[in-house]
Amino acid sequence: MTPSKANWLKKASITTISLWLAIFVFIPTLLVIATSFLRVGENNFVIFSFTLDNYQKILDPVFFHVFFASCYLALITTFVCLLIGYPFAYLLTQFSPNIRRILLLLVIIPFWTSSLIRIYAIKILLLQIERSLRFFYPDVSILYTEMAVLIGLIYTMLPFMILPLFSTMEKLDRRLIEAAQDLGATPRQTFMRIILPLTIPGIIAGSMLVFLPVLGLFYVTDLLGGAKNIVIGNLIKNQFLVARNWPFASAASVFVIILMAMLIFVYIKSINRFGGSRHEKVQ
Amino acid sequence: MTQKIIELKNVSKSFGNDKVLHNINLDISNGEFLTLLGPSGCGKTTILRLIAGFENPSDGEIFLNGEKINAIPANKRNVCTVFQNYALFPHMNVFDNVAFGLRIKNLNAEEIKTKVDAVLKMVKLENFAQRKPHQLSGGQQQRVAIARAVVNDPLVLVLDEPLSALDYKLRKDMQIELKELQRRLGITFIFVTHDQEEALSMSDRIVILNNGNIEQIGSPQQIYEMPQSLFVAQFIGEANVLTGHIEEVQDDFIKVQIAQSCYQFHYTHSKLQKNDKVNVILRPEDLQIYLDNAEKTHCLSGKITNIVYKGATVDLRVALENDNVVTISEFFDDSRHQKFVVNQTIQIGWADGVEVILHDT
Amino acid sequence: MYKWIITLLTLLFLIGCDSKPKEVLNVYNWSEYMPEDVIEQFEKETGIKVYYSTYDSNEAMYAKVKLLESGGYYDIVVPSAYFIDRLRKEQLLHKLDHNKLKNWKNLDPLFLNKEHDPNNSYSIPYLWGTSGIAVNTQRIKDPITKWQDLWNPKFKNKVLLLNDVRDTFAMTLTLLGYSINTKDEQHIKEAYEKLKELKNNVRVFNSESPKQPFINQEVEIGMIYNGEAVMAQRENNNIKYIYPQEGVILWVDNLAILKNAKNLQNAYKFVDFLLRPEIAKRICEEIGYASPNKEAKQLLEEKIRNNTAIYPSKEIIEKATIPTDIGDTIRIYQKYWEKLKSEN
Repeated sequence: MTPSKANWLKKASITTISLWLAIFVFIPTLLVIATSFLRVGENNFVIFSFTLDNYQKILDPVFFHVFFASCYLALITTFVCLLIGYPFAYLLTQFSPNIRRILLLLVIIPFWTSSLIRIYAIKILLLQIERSLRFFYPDVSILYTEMAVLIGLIYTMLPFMILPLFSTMEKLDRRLIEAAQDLGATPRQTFMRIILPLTIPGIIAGSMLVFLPVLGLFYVTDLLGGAKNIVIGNLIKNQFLVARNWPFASAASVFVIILMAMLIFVYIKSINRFGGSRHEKVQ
Repeated sequence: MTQKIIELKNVSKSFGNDKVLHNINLDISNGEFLTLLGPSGCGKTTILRLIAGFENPSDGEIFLNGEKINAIPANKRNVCTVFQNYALFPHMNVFDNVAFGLRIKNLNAEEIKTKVDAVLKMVKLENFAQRKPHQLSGGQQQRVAIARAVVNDPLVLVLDEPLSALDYKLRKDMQIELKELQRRLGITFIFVTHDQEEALSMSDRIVILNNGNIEQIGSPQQIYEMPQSLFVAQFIGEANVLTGHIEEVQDDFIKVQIAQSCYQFHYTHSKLQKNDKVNVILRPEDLQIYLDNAEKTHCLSGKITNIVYKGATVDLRVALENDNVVTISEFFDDSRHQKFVVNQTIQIGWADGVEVILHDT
Repeated sequence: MYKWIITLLTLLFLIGCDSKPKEVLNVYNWSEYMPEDVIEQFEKETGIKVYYSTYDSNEAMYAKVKLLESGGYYDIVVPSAYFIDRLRKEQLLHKLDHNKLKNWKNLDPLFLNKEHDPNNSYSIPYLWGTSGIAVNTQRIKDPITKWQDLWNPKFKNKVLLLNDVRDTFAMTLTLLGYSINTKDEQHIKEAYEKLKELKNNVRVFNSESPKQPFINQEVEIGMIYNGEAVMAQRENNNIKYIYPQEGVILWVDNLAILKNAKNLQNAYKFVDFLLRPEIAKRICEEIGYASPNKEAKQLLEEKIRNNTAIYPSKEIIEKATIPTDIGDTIRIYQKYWEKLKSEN
């Protein structure tokens, strides 16, 4: 391929991607931000007059309640995913590359099925477990409880925790662990002082990949929680569709976007802080 | 010799079906600078890892200071390692890296500071204590790695190709510094390298390894001048190998037939017998070129095929009559060497006794 | 570079608009709400090509119709009564000329001239149903007759409610004796407080497929659409559909022609076609809800015609109320709905 042709292709693909992002991400986001400053209309979705009322409404106790309830679910999910995902990812790195590839594939395979369908499957599974348990404890309920929601969320999000953790652990230089042992550190000390600090970027990336989507995974609370609670995703969807309050729904979306941006900022900061592994080797 | 600090007795190591060390016996004396030298895959790093405690021997015993340490994990051995790419902790600054081992030992902060400052001063990094490893040059990282190890006062310091990532000039400087450091500290250094020049210039003793076996142990001079095998001869320095067979064995000399000529050597080797095939090893700097046809005891004729000027020396490649090619290295002398041209027929000779004769196995 | 992009866009554009036949009709309907063979028959008879697209909620349909108002992308939509009301008020619907519909006479007057569309100037009833109580009589032996029975503390964690703000509030408002279309915040608040008392009994909110929890015996009693109840009955004969004494909620989905319809005459032809007794019967049989077409009802099997769960008595229909548009008051409902859900 001649350089000019390669250059042309490169430019073309960059332009296509930029156009795509502009049309389907950037402009819609701008529209959402703009809408959040408008008034809600009687017969039209919005009235073109500037207001900050929608943001004031975010302080409404109902919204805050929903927001904190969502964050609470998201936090527990993130924490449990981390608790399961960390040793899991570590074990993965202990296998030979061939077995590792197979195991990693098994982690990824569920992605090939729609998560909605998998949640239905979990629902049936929980129902069966509940039925069996009722032989012994007639009053037990699992389905349509917070426990069921958490099981569903953890199940859905676990791979998003494992994959970034695995990738940081895989990159972790074995010799650093040996060096720590060599200097007298016990396995526990090696973990606390070397492995844990060096995998913090993975922990943060995984936690973000779990925490943020959970805020929006309304179908899990709907299907497994019996729609008895709402998460921020339900709220935004209902405000757009049912209440036709686009400005408030937009303000709520912007609020979540800002939250995400803050978390990403923290992530980048932490990468800079802990990412000294970018060895500049002087050969 | 002084007391033995490390002993390896009949040590073997296999990874699966792959046996990388065969019956290694090695004694290391306290305070010596010992180098494990060999091509990659010879087992030198494995020996190092056995001593440091990262691997356990499949067979045999390892003693440290008279105590058997086969089952003692790395963190309980008073042996410290300098890793090939230094393995500095990227999330800690220089001070914290060096202090790591002391903190593990629960020393108090004051004591740690005193020790770390002293060792950083020793490696001339006292002004870099707050830097992160990636902000240092390769040579500086190297010093941190050494400081981090020696601050723990280990009985033995093992170094795994510590200089291989440095450029030539820096490597030369570090060789001298390392040797000086070792002398000053009086700690046993076990040094792994594949660079024979490094090994010769730094070591008290060199262990030559090949395919998991020890080929030869000896001082640099013994290794260079009296190689016990063709492998050692060819691995250390440059060697011209002339093949021939024994014509005659007498009490104080032997006669060897090389090409069409017969040579008499003052050499006693109980194992050599008439008609044995032998290799005669000659170092390039031991060979001389004669322009005249004067008969010498050891003399071969050949044609110059190549002349390479190397500054202080000049290398000449000469094709002998039996198609063997030898290299001759002489100090450069303008008036002498301008007489040499390619395709010129010349005579090669050497002083009696510089040759090494090895049985061809 | 730019040439390349323009070529690409042109290509995309060309793919987008294949050669269209002259006579077309764009129908925007609920998913799984019209048998395919009905559409095929219409196409065969008239030569009009039907472009059929679907939605899953009135709200989604409304947003699209409203935003694409000027484009005339759709000719026919099928909103529920309260959205007919809204679209009508917002002048998005075509005022019907009943003379162009010779099958108009087939419609049952019981379903005509209702509050949401006086004189049916803008809409033609398509299918209808009720929301009542389903109960598993094997599990619950007490006689169930009214909405208030759901509040019985015995049914803790055994009740299903529809996951729809209007349906659930309508039920509670009926129980409290208020209009289901009230705009008075005090009434709505009272309904919210009443519902809060019920929350302890509720096991699940579900409006997508409320029959399923009944069939799986996850719940024993609750609100349900009659069509869903009939289907649940087929699986488990113990499930009964009950018309509560306080009154049932009646819903009607209606055909309507959009004001900016590009194919107005074809739309009339299509509506009239759907009003034919045998076509209405076919739809009724396939979709499972009741038809407002009285001639079609006569053609139905007796078993279906006499199933009170599908076709309740005239008295019940007359007493039933239909949700109408409540305008921005929906936001008040939504506020209390969110409050109900977010509190424990």
